[in-house]
Amino acid sequence: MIIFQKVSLLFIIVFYLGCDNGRHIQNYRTPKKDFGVEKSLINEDSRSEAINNLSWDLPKGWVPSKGHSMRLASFDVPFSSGVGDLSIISLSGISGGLLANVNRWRAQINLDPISENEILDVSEVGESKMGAFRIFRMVNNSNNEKAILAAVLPTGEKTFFIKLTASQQGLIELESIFEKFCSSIGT
Amino acid sequence: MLNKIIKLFSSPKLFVYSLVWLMILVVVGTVSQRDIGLYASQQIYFSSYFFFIGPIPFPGGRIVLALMLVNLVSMMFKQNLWKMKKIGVVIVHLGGVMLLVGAGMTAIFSSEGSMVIEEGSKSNTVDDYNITELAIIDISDVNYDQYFVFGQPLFKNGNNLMHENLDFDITILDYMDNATLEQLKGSSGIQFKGMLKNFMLKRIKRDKDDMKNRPGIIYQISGSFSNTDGIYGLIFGQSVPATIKVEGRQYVMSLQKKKTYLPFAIELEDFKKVMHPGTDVAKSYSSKINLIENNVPRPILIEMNKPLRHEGYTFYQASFIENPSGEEATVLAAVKNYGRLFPYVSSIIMSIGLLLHMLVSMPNLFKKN
Repeated sequence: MIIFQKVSLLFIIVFYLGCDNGRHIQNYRTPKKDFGVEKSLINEDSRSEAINNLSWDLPKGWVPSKGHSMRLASFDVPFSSGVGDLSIISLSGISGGLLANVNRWRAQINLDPISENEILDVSEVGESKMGAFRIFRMVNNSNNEKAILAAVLPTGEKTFFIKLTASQQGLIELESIFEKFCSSIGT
Repeated sequence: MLNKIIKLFSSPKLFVYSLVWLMILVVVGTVSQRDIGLYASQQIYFSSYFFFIGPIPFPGGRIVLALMLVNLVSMMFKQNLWKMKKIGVVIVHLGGVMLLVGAGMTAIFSSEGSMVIEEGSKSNTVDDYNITELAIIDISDVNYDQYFVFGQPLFKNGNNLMHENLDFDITILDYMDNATLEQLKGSSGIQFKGMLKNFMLKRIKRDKDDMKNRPGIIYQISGSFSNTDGIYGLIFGQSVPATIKVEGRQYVMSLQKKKTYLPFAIELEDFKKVMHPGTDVAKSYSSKINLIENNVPRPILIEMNKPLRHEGYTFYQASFIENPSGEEATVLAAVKNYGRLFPYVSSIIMSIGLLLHMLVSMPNLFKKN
C-alpha cells in the first residue's frame, strides 16, 4: 500500500506544479482586422510638391486649403475625429526671435509664457533637407479642442514656421506624420 | 523520511486543521471583499498558494485544498480502511477526492469572459474579464494578421520577452493593474517613443470593481538596431493604436484582455429587451443568434435564464449596450468550466457512501440497543 501512497502523492504534486494556464507565449494568425492604422499607412504614401522654390513630400490625404496672404501654403490635415489646419510661413531673418514666437503660440491656447532657458526643455530637434528644426508641442489640458504643434526651421536668410492646429486627439495622431513632413522640407 | 512525510500527510488531524484554516480563509476573504473587491480578494486568499500579511507568509486556498486532496488520497491507501464494513467510508472519501479534483480543474483550466456582438455582426473571440496580455501584431501581410501574444504572468519587471519570429526583444519595465495618462509639461527624453513622448503612465489605486481598472504597461524595445528601439507605453482601451516599423514590417502593439478564439462564431441577428412598465429598468432581454459552425448557421435564442451550452462553453445573457443612435449590442458572459459536473457527481457519490455506511453500521446499532 505504501507504494501506492508514494505514487499518488507524486502524481498530485506533479499535477499541481505542471498545470499552468497562462505563462506561455502564443503565436497565431487571424483574418485581417482593421486596427485603425490604415490612415497613417496611407499617409506614408506621399507625393513631392514644390511651391516658391520650396519642396516637401505631401502626405496623402492632406488637402491644400485657402489661407491668408502671409501663408506660403496651407493644408487641411484629416485625423480620426476632425481636420487640423497646417500653415507654412516664411519670414526673413529670425523674425522677432524664437522665444517671442513660441510665447505668441502659447498665448493662443492660454498657456503662460516660458523663459529663454525653458525653450530647450519644451522642444525636440529634427533634421530636414535644409537643416535642423525645432518642434514645439503646446497643449492646454483645460482645452482639449485646441492644441498646437509647431516647427521652426531657420535657414539663415529666412526662417520657416510650420504650424499645425488641431484638437489634442488630433495632435497625438498627427505628430509622427508632422515630423516626417517637416523633415522632407527642402529647396 | 518519505514514510514519515506520508504518515504526516495521511493524518486525519491534517484534514481537520486544513478545514479550520479554510473556514478562516472564507471569513477573511469575504470581509476583505468590501475593501479590495471581489476579484482581488479571490486572487489573494483563494487562488494563491501563499499570501503575506506583513512579512509573514500564510497558506492560500490552493495549497490548503491540495493538502486536503493529498490527505484524502493517502487515507484511501490505509489498509484498515479496505474492509467491507467500511465500504461507505471509502466511497465518501472517493467523493471527497472527486470534489477536490473538480475544484482543481476549475481553478486551473476554467475561464470566464465576455463577448460583445453588435446586431448584424459576428464574433468568435471571448475577452477574459481580468487577465491581460500584450499583443504584438504583424499587419504587413495582406491576407492575415500574425499575433505574438505574451500573457500577464510574464509581466514581471525586467522580464525579457522574445519570439524567434520577432525582429526585436521586449523588456518589461513596469506593469500597472490600474493606470492613467498624464500629459507631460515638457518633452520627455529621446529614449521615450510613441505615446510616452508626450504622456506619462501613472499608477493609480486599484478600483474595487475590477471592470473599472485600466491596466498599463511600460516596456523597452531593443534589438531592432533602428530608431524604433526605445521605451514604449500602452494602456488598456487606448483609442490610438501604437505602431512600429521594423525591417519593413508594420506592427501594432496592444494591451488587451486575454483573447480566446472559439472554433465557432456567434452572429447576433436581433437583440430584444423588455422594460418594466413606466421605468428604465430592464425586465428581461434576449439575443436571437446564429451559431455558425463549419459555415452552417443554426438559429438559437439566448435568454436570461436559458444559456447556450456548446463545445464546453456556456453563454449567458449578461448585459447589453445601446448607443445614442439606437444601435444595440448584446453582452454574453462566456464560461468554460471543465469541472462543472464534478460537484454534482461527487455529492451523489458522498451521499451514497454515507447511506451505505449507515446501512452497514445499522446492525451494530441494533445490537447495542
